[in-house]
Amino acid sequence: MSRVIGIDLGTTNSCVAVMEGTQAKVLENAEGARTTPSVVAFGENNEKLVGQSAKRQAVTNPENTLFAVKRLIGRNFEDETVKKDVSKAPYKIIKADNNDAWLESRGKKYSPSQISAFILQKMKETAEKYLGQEVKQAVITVPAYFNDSQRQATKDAGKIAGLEVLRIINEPTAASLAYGLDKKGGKKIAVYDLGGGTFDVSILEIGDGVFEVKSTNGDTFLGGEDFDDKIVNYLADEFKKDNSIDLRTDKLALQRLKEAAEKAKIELSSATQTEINLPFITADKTGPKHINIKLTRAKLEALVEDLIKRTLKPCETALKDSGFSAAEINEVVLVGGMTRMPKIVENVKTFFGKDPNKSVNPDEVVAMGAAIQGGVLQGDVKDVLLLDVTPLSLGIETLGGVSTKLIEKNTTIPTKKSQVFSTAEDNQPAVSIRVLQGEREMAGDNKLLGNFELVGIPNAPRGIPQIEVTFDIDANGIVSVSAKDKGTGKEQKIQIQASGGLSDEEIKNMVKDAEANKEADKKKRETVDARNQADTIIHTTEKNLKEHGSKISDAEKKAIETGISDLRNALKGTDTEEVKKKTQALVQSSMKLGEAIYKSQQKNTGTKDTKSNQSTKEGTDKNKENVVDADFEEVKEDKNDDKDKEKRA
Amino acid sequence: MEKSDKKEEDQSSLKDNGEIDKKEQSSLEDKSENKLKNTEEKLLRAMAEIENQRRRFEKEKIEAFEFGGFNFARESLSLLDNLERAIASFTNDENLKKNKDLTKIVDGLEIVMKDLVSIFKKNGIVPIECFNKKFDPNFHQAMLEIEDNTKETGTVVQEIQKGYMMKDRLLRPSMVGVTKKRQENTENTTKKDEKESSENEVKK
Repeated sequence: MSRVIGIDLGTTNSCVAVMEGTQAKVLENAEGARTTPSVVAFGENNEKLVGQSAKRQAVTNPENTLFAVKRLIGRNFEDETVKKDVSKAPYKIIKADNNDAWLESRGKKYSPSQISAFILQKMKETAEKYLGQEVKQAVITVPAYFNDSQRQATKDAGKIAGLEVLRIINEPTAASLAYGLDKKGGKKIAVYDLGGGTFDVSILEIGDGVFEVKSTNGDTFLGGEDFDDKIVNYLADEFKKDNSIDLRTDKLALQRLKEAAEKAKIELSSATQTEINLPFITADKTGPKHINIKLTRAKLEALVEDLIKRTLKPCETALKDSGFSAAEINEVVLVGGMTRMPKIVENVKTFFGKDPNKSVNPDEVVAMGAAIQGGVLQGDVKDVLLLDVTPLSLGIETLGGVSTKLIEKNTTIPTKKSQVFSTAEDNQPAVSIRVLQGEREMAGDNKLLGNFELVGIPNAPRGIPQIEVTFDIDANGIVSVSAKDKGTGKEQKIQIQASGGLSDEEIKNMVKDAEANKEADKKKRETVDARNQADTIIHTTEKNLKEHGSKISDAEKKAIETGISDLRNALKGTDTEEVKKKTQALVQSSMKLGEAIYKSQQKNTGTKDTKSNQSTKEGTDKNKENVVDADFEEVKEDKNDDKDKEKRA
Repeated sequence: MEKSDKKEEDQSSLKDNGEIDKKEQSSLEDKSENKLKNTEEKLLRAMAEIENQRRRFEKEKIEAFEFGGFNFARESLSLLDNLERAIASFTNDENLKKNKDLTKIVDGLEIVMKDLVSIFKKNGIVPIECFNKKFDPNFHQAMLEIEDNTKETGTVVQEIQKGYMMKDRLLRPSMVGVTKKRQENTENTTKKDEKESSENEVKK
């Protein structure tokens, strides 16, 4: 089943994403990068390079390294923007027969659609490698201000690349989709897109699931690189002050400065200050020179203040043109890596008067939105989005009043889970299943949804019967809980409406409660576990003592018996540490018993004494029982304990 | 009595609509069958997708482990860079050269560098040999062009910064200077290429 991919075909960088279940996933290209430079180059032997490799040889091949082709796609040669590019670009821009702007490289003529197709092809291959199957359809994004001819040219590029372009959607729309704003209800959206080289602001309005572009504005020569340049110039100027050397003339030093500046800029989005370390940046006759400067966030903000202000003017104009006031805007979306800067977030928040949506990676949000649109067009996403989750954990009550989870909260439903439990007492004839909902460790703190009993369990030592408890939740959230005795095949079950009318608020509070009580609950759980363990140890040790007591000395026997009674006493009290200590002591002293048992087994397997073999067999069987004992969880049993005691009485 | 009358009535009404009912029934059956077919197909698709996803996640997990240290490795390269620069700076320093004790310092630095290189190698990080090799944008980043008629155009003759591979991925490209053959400028030439190249220069 072929998949629809989403492609953000950017001026400087492109990105591809695909739906993985309910989430849009950005894919890494062959070099391991999540974005691919929108650069195409033709080498001497007409070999074609796309992406990072094309960028790397630009210096040796400027006329044939084609970049920012998005500025030309679908435009007429006489267009103002094209004229500007003709004078600036190192590559040749020509007029085609139909007056469109085309490119020429190594004697061949190319339409911007053809060049863009090479980039789209690389994105297609990236997706195919990941999915392991052919990709034939895509959704591609374009700026909101693109006209018909630019959109058609982009669609053509897709076709040339071998992709059926199911839809061309606007970049701000795609970003809004990635945040699910089409379902949220707020109708008026502002999208602030500050990418690597350009700034775009768009005002959208959603009506009946349809996005309408009310206005657009921006600055085509303002981007993250300008912010980097401010830092580079600051560092170079400071250095020049102290050392009279202009690092900008040294290619390597300049490159190092640029990298350090970008790194520092990124760090200052989370830290309030950073150190820029560039040892041996240059040298003069007095020796090597180093840069070691502390850059604070405040200083950075001062350096780029005018750039940030430059973005607010287009916002004002776009707002005016849309006819809305800032107060009427319901949602603000941030796009582009530069929007990670706290000062920018602050300015946007102040301007529009609300917190912007920024939780999705701003470099990838447009590609993700395109993938979501692709998923919707394919039909999968709608189905998947209908899936619900169980908001709280479900489980049963087990020995000691603890709550044992079978289904974790936020599990997608429908779902089914089984676990095998056993009895807590010897000859226990029935088990009581108490179905609980909640996150607390102790059963009493969770909500009891229902309970039932499974009777007719044949007499057996505790821990032997195998009771399979199964939780089954259907797509409507109805919970069926069954308990089946694997020995007799007897089964009992009930059906409950799991949500039980809990509101979102109540669910949130329950989860919060569990967090708040985590420590206290953990302690209680430990106490119960310790007591259960003590109980089991007493039981098995007494059994073993009865069977094999003859194998050890009287002194050792006495030690064990004392250990047992000590532990019993500790259990009467409430000191968990004491219980734990006495358990350890009993484990230690009963090790002698264990040793003796194993020794006698070995002796007996050595000689061919049939009588001894029989007793060995029994021994090993009993040991097996002990092992089984420890494995099984035990089900609490008060009602039936009484019944049991009655029977015995 | 009433009841049986009613029954007959009902039966007769049944008879009248008998044919229509049958048609409705068979179209209902068709609908159910289609729905069943669709549901079965969806189920199979969903199951297949789960299997595919599992496969993809497995692969990703393996890659995440293999290249988990990628970013850290890339930043750590500056340690190698700067140690090399320090050693070069000391050994070329006019004043230090005269000092016999210089070797003590340089030896110490060189030992540390050797250790670093070996640690990197153990983790799959190796330097890229680029000198005199043909310029390859998949591994090299051209920083400048150098005129040199003794070599083929596009040969790497200067290593401005060392590049490294991490296993089979490019960790950092080599920053290089690449040769180009000097352009012949004879008088009476009207070669198209030259004209274009000079035009381009004017544009720049």
